[in-house]
Amino acid sequence: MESLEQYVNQATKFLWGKKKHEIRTELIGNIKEMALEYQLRGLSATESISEAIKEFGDVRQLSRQFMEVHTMPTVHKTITLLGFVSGFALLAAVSSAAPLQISTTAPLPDCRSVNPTGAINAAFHCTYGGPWVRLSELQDEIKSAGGAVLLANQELQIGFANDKSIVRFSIKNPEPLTPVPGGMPEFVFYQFYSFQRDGETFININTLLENVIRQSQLVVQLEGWQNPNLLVGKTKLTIGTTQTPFIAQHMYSFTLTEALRLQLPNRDQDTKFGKIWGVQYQSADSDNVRYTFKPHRLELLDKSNGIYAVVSQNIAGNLRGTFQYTIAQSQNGILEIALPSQKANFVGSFKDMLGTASELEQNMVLIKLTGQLNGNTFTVVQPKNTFSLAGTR
Amino acid sequence: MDAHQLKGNLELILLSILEPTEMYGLEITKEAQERTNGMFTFSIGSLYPALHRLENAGFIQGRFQAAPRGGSPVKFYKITPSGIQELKSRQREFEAFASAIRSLWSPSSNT
Repeated sequence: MESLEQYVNQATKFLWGKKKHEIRTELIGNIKEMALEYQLRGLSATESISEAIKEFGDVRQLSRQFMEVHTMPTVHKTITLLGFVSGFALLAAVSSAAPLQISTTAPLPDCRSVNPTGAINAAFHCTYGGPWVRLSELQDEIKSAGGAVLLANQELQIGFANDKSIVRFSIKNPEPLTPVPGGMPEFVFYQFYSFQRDGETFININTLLENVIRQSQLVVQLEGWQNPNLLVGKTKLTIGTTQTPFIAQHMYSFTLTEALRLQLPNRDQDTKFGKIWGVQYQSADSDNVRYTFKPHRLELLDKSNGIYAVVSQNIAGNLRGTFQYTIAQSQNGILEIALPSQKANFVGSFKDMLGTASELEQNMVLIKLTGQLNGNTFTVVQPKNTFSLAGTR
Repeated sequence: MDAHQLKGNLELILLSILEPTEMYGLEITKEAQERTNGMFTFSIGSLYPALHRLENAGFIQGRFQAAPRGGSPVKFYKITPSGIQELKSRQREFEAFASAIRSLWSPSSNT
């Protein structure tokens, strides 16, 4: 026998927020009212509820109808979401004229240090997890663009308008490693996917976007650097706000590293310290770039603002022979970017880039990113002029 | 009544029932059955999505209040001015449709 709670949970499983709460209240009130009539006819409380639920009808049909009315008001086609067994088919052409805003937030999750000595503190690990987006906000925004976001058994499922596939991934955090008693402090990197605070679920926005890029069958496009616009098909989301800005560098590098790996010789190395990847992104704010790279100004042929990367060979220690790149945004045809040698010779192909490299001079390739994150990612370009801001041309 | 026919006219039925007075889901079902001598028998659950659709369109307005016999609150719905206009318009459409159908059953005056 199905309980009232089970029935109502099932009926409202595709709803969320205030609407879910309201509809639950409404259903419970009416089912109890009907059950009261059965009780007056002599049935027990449990039997009465059971009879009332029967009269309410097929719960799967009801949950689907609620979803059609509330979850996807702009989608005309009937869709089947039951268990997502048959896939997610959002077929209506829905677009948002104004971009939707997802505000990001950067609170540290309540996470534990994996290191009992405290040498590497919890905040260190947690810092790698952000920024975060509130699940309820994400749901509202995607929903208003004709899609849907559901969370079931710690798996997040996102259906964008017009996307025939569903983006799904676990937001269950990795288990902290068990430290060896008496062992040395261990450098352990792991990323948090989600956390709960004050009854709200927060999702790691980088994890979210990585999965959208990997799984969506629509064209996924990124525009801009700070608080970028993310376009998934016709759905447009602005990520970040003035108060909590989001910098898109991770999104560009996530895609570009994969794209470059396909075009460059494989330089992955297995060492006793672990795997060294053959293509590495050097963040502009990393110590390596700050202390060993040289600032440059590139004049570009294209005066429109865009995102560029410079690819070169690594000359440092055990990374020698691998490839590295930095990313920056151009402004009015000028690209200010840190490069690994005093003099940069820009060449037209990756093949021409291979060869001798030193801190004084090396061949590099300038590429312009298209912003498309799951397809044609970049084109090779040439700068008009290059100036080293460290003093040497 | 055939389920398809009922479904196609559910919103017209609901607006008609709510025109004179405010009601909550269970009352609406009973009212529909009583006023049509049991011809309209809803799967009660399906009533709520239809009510919400009308509410989203602004044709009815809902508010929670205590159920008549106490207990958990229920949502009472009342028709809005734009709902009354919608009802009139749907009534006209229905009349025109019914009249067209009836004319098919009458002997042709041209023969």
